[in-house]
Amino acid sequence: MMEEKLFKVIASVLEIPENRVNPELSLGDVEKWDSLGHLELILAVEEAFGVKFNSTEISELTSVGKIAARLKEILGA
Amino acid sequence: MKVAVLSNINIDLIGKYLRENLRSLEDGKIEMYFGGYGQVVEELIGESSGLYEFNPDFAIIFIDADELFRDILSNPLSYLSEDIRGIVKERVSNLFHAISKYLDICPQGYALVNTLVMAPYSVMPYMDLNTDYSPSVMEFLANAELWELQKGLKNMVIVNWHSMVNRYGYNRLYDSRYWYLGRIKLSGEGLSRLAYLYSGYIKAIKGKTKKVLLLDLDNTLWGGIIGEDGLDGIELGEDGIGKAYRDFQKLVKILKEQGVLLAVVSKNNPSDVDEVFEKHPMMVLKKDDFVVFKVNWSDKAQNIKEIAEELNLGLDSFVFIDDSPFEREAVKRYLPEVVVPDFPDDPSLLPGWFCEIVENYFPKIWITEEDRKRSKMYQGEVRRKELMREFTSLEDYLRSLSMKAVISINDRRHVSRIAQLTQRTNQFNLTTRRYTEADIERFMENPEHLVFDLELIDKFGTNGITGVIIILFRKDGTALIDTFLMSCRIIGRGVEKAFLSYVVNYLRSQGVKILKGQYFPTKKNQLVSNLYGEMGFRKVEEDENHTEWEMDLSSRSVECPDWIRVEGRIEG
Repeated sequence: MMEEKLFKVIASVLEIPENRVNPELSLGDVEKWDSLGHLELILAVEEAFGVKFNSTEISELTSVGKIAARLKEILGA
Repeated sequence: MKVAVLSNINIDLIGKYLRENLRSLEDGKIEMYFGGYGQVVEELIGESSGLYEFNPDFAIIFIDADELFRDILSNPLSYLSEDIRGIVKERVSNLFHAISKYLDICPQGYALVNTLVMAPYSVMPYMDLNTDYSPSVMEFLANAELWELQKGLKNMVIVNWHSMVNRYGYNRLYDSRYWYLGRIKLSGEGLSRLAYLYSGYIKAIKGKTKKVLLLDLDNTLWGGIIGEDGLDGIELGEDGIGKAYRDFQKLVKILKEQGVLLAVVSKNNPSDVDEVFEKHPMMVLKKDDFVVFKVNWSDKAQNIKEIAEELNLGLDSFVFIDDSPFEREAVKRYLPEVVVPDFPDDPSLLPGWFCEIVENYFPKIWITEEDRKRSKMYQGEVRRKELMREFTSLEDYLRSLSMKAVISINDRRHVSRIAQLTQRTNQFNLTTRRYTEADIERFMENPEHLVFDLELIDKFGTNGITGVIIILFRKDGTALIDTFLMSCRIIGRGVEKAFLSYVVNYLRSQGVKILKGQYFPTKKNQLVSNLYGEMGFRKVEEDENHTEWEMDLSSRSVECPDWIRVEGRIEG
């Protein structure tokens, strides 16, 4: 459930079809996911799940898999 | 609509939020341009910059105060308050001159500049504002300076950002993580609130505002139910919760003075309600603040429909305020065009809640003379309708009104009202071209255009400026009626004929031989599809998007109805 919602959010921010979102997809893999796009993505994920990452985490959460794993830890899902 | 965003910080992420907020305008067709990060002044003064190439309708300029004064803030103990004063003046005036240069070259655009907000954190927290070393004073000085300078510039608008920051709090609207990671200062909420704020100003400039506030009475204008609690039992006054209702009434009165029409829609015995309005000492709103009173036991949706007919206004210009969820649901269901906001369940929230309603539905930056007189004019309208019922023939009724049309040419005092009419008029509007104040000013200065406006006066008083004709002289020697519109409240009295007749005679005296008119159909202007035909113009062109008409002024005229006296006033 969580993963499905996350993929939707990511696809919408990165402006790519949902089926292109997978855990390996990383910063730099698509045009929109540059350094500014990364912050936009994190902002959207924070808003969608009501969470807040710290600034070190934001720099490290550079792939869909890493974001999903961290969300699971925080939300306990 | 084209919107440019310039900032001295990274604010590109506001794009999404601006689109959401502006979606209802112009079918949501919005183009955006983001200036280079930190290139505010360069974009504004460099005529080859991307900003000039983009040529926006609205240039949003977001200035972060901590960045603008970064040098002083990083070394505050080396600046005395007098140095600070000079530096602030210089920086704000540099920004202002850049904006005014831009507006000189692009006079049809608007520049929206925020009030400056400094971070409410300092390492000299107690010294600040008490000694010569007072960096926080920059915020006050800069905003005062901006306000002073802006007074002379009509299309520069100050956006009250620091008030929004006060409302929700700096800690919520700013986020230091994004600042250090990407030079983005605002949080997601901050971006969203800022976009909402800018959109409000844009809607105000574009005249996207409702016209009528419909009010329930019991538990809305006062606490309790008059029919049960009686005159002494209702809550309204200076003490206790009654003050919340009294404060709410004061705010409603101020909104009325800005030109919003008020009407009562209440299920009550009229005599009970009259007693409150006549005898309750704490009532702020008086009967003559309202244009219509619907106090009866009929269905509210039906009452609202009648009000729309009596005022000759569309239901989409109404906002309905009622504490009863049942009544709100019924109106929402039967009249979906009417805006029906939720009502706060705690009366102490009423004043603050109402301000947000105004912010959302009644945005307005400038007040025109028309706005101040509007309630009176519509009261006259309601009385005219009553009088009309007494006459058997329309012409007898029109004669009894003793109408006088005062027509002005290029009258600069009327610019904002004329722009407002082009923005708002839908039914009697042949071309539906929407113009801003800057556009109208340009037409008045430009010899290729003439701007006529019409004020209608009758025995019930003035109807205000209610008609506009804009003429464009073409290179081939013909004249084109670029815009012809009349406010719907005076339709059906022959005024349009009197107006066009005057314009035709004036143009003939200026040597114009051929006058052309166009009709562009919209969903709402069917009423005037054959207007030029009725006035004696010849149809010369027709396709599915428009019809074009022509009149040879050397052999034809438009007849002025003999029940209207016309007076021409020619201004510079």
